[in-house]
Amino acid sequence: MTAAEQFQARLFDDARASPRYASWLDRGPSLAALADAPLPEPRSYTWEYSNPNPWYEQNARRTDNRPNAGKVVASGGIRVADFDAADSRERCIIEANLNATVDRRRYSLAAVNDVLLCGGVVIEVPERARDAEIELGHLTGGFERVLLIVGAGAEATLVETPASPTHRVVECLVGTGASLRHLRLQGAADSFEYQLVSTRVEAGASYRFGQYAQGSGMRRNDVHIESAGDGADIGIRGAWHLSGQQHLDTQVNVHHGIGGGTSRQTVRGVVNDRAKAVFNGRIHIAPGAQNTDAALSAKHMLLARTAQAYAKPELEIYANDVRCAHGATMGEIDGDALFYLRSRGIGEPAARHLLIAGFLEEAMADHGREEARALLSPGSLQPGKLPRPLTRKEGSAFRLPADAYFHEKLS
Amino acid sequence: MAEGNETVHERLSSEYSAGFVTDIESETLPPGLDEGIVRQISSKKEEPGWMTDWRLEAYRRWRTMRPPRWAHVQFPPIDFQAISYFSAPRGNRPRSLEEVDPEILRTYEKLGIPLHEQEALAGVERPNVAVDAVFDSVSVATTFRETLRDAGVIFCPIADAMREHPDLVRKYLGSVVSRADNFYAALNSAVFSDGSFVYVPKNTRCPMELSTYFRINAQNTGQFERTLIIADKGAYVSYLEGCTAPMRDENQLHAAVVELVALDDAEIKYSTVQNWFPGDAEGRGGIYNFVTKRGACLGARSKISWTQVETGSAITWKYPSVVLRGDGSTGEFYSVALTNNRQQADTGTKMLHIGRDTKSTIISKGISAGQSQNSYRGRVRMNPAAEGARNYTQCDSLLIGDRCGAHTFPFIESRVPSAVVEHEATTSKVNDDQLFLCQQRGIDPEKAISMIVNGFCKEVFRQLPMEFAVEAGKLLEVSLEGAVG
Repeated sequence: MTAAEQFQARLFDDARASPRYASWLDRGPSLAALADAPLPEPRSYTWEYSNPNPWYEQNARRTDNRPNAGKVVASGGIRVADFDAADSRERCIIEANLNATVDRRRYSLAAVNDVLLCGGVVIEVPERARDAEIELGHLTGGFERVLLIVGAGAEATLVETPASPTHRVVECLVGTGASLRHLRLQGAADSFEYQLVSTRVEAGASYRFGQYAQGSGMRRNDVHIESAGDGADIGIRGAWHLSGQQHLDTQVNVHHGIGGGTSRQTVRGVVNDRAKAVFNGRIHIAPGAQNTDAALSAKHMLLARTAQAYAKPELEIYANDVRCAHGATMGEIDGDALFYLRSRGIGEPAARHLLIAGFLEEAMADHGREEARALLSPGSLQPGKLPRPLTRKEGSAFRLPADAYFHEKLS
Repeated sequence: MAEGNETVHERLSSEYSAGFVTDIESETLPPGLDEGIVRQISSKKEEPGWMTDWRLEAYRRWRTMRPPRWAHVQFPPIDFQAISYFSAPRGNRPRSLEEVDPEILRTYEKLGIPLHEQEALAGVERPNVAVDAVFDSVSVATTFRETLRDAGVIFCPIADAMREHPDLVRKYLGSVVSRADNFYAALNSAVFSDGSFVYVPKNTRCPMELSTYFRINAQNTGQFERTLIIADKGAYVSYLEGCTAPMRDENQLHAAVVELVALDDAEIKYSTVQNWFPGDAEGRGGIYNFVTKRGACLGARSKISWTQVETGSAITWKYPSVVLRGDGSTGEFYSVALTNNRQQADTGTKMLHIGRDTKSTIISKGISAGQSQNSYRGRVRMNPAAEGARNYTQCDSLLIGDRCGAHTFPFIESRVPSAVVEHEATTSKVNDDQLFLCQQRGIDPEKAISMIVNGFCKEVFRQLPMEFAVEAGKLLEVSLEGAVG
């Protein structure tokens, strides 16, 4: 029995007892989804470079009922309610909208989140609200859920600074003509984490998502964004700077279900020491979603001979009148640029910092730039001990994997 | 307008010109696969004992494996016990061209493959091409063997090579694509019946283009051929491969393995024009083309270049790859994959950089029309010792019609800072302005589309030997018929 199967078996055992948190919430569909779609196994198609097993081990014991200890700071006529303390109107809203955007067979760890839920908030931004701001810090530290509903024509900003470890699923519903800026800052940690952001963007709405992160023992960030109306405008910015043994796996899926939408993804990653960065950026254009304009740019910079980067920019296109492009690069600091700066009297460490900062800056939006800089600037990281260079012999010890061209453990 | 549609319709009905059946007597093993069949194939080929054991080991490995499921293609499960694994024209193996069944010679004539060693054609000097013709499971003729022997080049059916050059075959067979590499490679290792063997000795430039032409004729059989090409130090060889099959309502399996080995300073250029029967407009019939092709740049400064034009097959599952082991070695992949009607293609390449200063270039052009699905799948891996390695990848997709799909799945992996990987991909439809310009100058839409598509593929066609480039251009035109209108 694999770790995933053990975890799942225990989950079903536990689910027989009535949940203590928000017991009115129907966990049935999530359990059904888990029964259909197995939990991710190591080396499976979407988990090729990240091992979920430590996550199962870490979360094997049933988490206690921890009420929302953290705080949600909100301004601008926003309504916030804890799932456990929701009144009948709020319960109706939660029941109608929770998991509306989450495919629990695809994101089966989000279904686990439902079953083991120990804290959740629903946030409602009224229609045509202006300057609504929400700050979301630490909530419970366990399996937690955020449901954000932005009313038609409203303008809102969500800033997330989740403390580690957190297993947070954030669902955002951006109403017609509304605009949401979503900033998420993830500091360094040692734990194993899974997080999902799932957003639906309606016609004429705009969604700007900025994710700036350092790594953890294994941090997996799934991002699923659906363009559900004509003129939906999606912008994703991601920057990460990893050091030590950190591991960060970011999987973005932009789904253009209806035509006439626009999406842009810009990602920059710097990887040092023995860290590992994984990025998968997918653009999916459904049949009939004509006049879609989608683009992705992902660049990684490796700073050490033991650092690793894996990128997979994917296109899946079922409509012909579209504009789609993606680009991805990997490399090191530009030697010419470094030489130029040094020839102007800037010392090598400072010049390197400057070039790294400039590289990361490409993926920073105006909103949250300061916070992102503070989180990712080369000076703010613990400089890891440089590993010894690899010898030629070690390098050539590589052998071809005996299995198929691409990993086929999916079945 | 009605008239235009009629012309299109007319041309559609004659779309697959290689779809005829040759009526010859053949000897076919009963459908099914077990150790007995593997032994029978081996004994029919009069193989040495070590080869029989090699096959049996592959068969045992295959039985423990499952077909890959990750590709972006859909088809019902294949019943491997319903396939016949060996079919050959009846009679003794011909020793010279004169002895070949005239019916088979006529087949190749109809397909435009020169099996006669003529020096000049219609008064025009034309470079000679040595051809190994594989009909169902066996090689029926190999031309210019004498001329090549004088140059020291070995070009013969792989079954002959096992008897005449056992040391070379034993050393290199399975060294690039192992018996357990994947499900279809294991199947091929167990049952492969023929294919070509090429050895180009040290510092030799092969005096002519070598070519193999594969033809599936018999019903309910699969074709499992194996090609092994070895270029010794400083050698150069250019190799062409073409394939066709009759039109049938059932799907037929083609699971080949191609292994290339390039030693120091050697260069291998491998070109394919694949035109297996693609199935009819409703998706009935057609070849399942599940092929493993891989080259190993073992020596320093060696080079392997794959060029493929894929227009046929109901389903294509094919990733010609290069393992760049030698320092300073080069890998190239140029591909045009066209799918129409209900064809599905999942094709691309793998470039595995192991040595220092290795270079690879990938240019992939995908064209989807009708209700077809066309995917590029590639993997570029920079291993820790690949200091200073470089890769450049460009994959472009062109969509014709609103019911087809074009997909890109590139895997990029780097574990060495000084390696540089660049990947870009675009997707577009046929530009309305270009189409308008052509039509305005009196070029009909179908012709205009074919011109635009040819321009889109120019970078790849440029890599093909001249005769193949002309053939490839024509093939695209035919395959696109009915895609507009």
